[in-house]
Amino acid sequence: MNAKKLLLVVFIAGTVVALPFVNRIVFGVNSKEVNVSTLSQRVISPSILASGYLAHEEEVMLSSEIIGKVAALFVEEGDVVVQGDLVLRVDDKNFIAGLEQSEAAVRINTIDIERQIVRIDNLERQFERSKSLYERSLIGEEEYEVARNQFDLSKIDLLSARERLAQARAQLDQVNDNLSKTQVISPINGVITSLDIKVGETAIASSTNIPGSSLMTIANPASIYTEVLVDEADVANIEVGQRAEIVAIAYPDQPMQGVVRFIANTAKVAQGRQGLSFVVKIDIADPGAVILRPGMSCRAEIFTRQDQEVTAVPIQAIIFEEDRAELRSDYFIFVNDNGIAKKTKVEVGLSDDEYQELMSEIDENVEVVIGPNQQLRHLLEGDRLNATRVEQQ
Amino acid sequence: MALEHDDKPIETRDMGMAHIDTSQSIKTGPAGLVTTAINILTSPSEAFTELGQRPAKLFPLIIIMLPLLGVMFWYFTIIDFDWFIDDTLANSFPRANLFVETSGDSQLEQARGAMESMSQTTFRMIGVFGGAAGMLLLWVLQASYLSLVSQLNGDRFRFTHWFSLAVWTALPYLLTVIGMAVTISLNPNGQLSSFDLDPLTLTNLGITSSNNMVSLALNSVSLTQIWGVVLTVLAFKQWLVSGWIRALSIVLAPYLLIIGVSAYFLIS
Repeated sequence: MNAKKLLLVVFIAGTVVALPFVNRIVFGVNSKEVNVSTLSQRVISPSILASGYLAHEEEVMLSSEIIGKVAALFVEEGDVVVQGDLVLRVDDKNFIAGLEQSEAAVRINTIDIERQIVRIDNLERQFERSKSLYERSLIGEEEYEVARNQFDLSKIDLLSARERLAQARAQLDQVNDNLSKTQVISPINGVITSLDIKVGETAIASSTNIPGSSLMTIANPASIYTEVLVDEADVANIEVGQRAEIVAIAYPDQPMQGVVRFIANTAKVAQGRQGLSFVVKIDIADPGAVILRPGMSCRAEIFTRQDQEVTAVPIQAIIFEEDRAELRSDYFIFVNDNGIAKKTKVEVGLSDDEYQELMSEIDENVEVVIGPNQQLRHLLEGDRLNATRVEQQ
Repeated sequence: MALEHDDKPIETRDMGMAHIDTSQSIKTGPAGLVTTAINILTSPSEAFTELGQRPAKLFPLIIIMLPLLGVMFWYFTIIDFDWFIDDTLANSFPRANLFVETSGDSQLEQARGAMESMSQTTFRMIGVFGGAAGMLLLWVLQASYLSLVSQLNGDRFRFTHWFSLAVWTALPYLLTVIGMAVTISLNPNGQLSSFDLDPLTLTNLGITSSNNMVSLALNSVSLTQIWGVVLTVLAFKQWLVSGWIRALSIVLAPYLLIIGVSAYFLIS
């Protein structure tokens, strides 16, 4: 074999072997294009999402206590009423007739008492006369006893007549009360939000949900609030007074500001849900341009921690590593150490949709790798970085 | 090692065609396979004369395939698969970068999901054996095409000659395999792009372009591939005693066809 040829082959192979080294020297080691940022002080607002609907706090549903045909309706849906306004009248002819009957009964019983008093006076005089005659032995004992019995019985009759009068008066009160119930008045200041009956229809005294049992609903529009159902796992983080952002489904781009007012003490299984939920009431502090209508579906984001500034990094900068075998989980960030990626273990706190609180003490001037996601996902300790400084907004 | 050595006598029948070179009929003494391998790299005409007489195939197949399979196995053993999938998606065609930047991670994740549906073992098997199988198929196609040309031409060369030539002219690819091995050893962190694996691609030799399609071509073409094509042209010219234009046009025709079809699909 020609030695020159062999040398040439060795030279070519040597060149190829040297090429990656030369490449490294000439072009440098591939560095990863990353975005870095220094740590910033930022408000972290962890929140809980819940869905529900708008409702009125002051709301009454009027129903009839008597059965009768509606004779007159004085309001329409949407009308403003004040407390004491007559809103509906049930036909009262039967009740007026009953009233006259009861008044007559009272009068009859009153007359009967007067008659009994006169009768007692008369029997008392007869008894006194019989007594005098009996003491002088002018009449027998039997005659004397009859006079005395008649006098005693008349007193009992008077008592009975008085009781009948009381009974008639009670009946009169009852009839008066029923008559008053033909006049339905508004118990609160508000707006007629629902009118469920018409003139000529029969109002029915019933608590069951049948036609005629509900007359109308009156609500105070100023008392509108949001009622949401919070999952039992989240309820521990909710407190009265926390800020909330409410979005009505009909106005998805117009969030309203609210404040948590009430948290239910008892959990319940809400319709359509499997787990337990707690009712949370949120007052709407500022509805903005939203026209609030009770029953509207809405969702509320309740901010569970008040607005405090903390040291934070974008959430994608946090690397989570879990070792299930050792039941260990750790959080890391990558810092830019003079162009070299340095993996640093950190303790994290609360987070919101974008940022995570850093509990560990880290020099504020350190540059943290915050993106892009594709690079961060595969970043390794010791990787060379071509960092671009990004100012966080 | 019992390597086959096709030692068939050269047919010297007169085809009645003036362009058949008589020099091919002169039988030279057998050169060693290693000598032939060295000659392919340093003195190709001597190697072609030898191959024209004794078209050995198994030896070059083994010395190319075994190191190639070994290096690819090494590569797919150390590679970080999640990273590899992302890198492949982002670099395999120019649109991938646009789609990652504009549409966010969701679509990328969908594509990732499709790739991840394969198990790592399957992925590794495809990576290791896919390249070797593709190379073998290419040699068979190339040999079939050139043997068809030979048949039309009426010369003495058959499929076995052209297949042997195709394998031997791929011998410079061994240099690529060596380069790959060095590159892998320099990047043990598992994040070595398949595009950076071969130090002899035109891109890795410093030839770059801002045009995506040209960049893709520069990434795909290796110096050893060009070397192999040049060797095939030289062999064709020598064996068939043809002119440069004929040799170039016949040998390069399939490559030009592939480039044309690829360009058409990329543009459309």
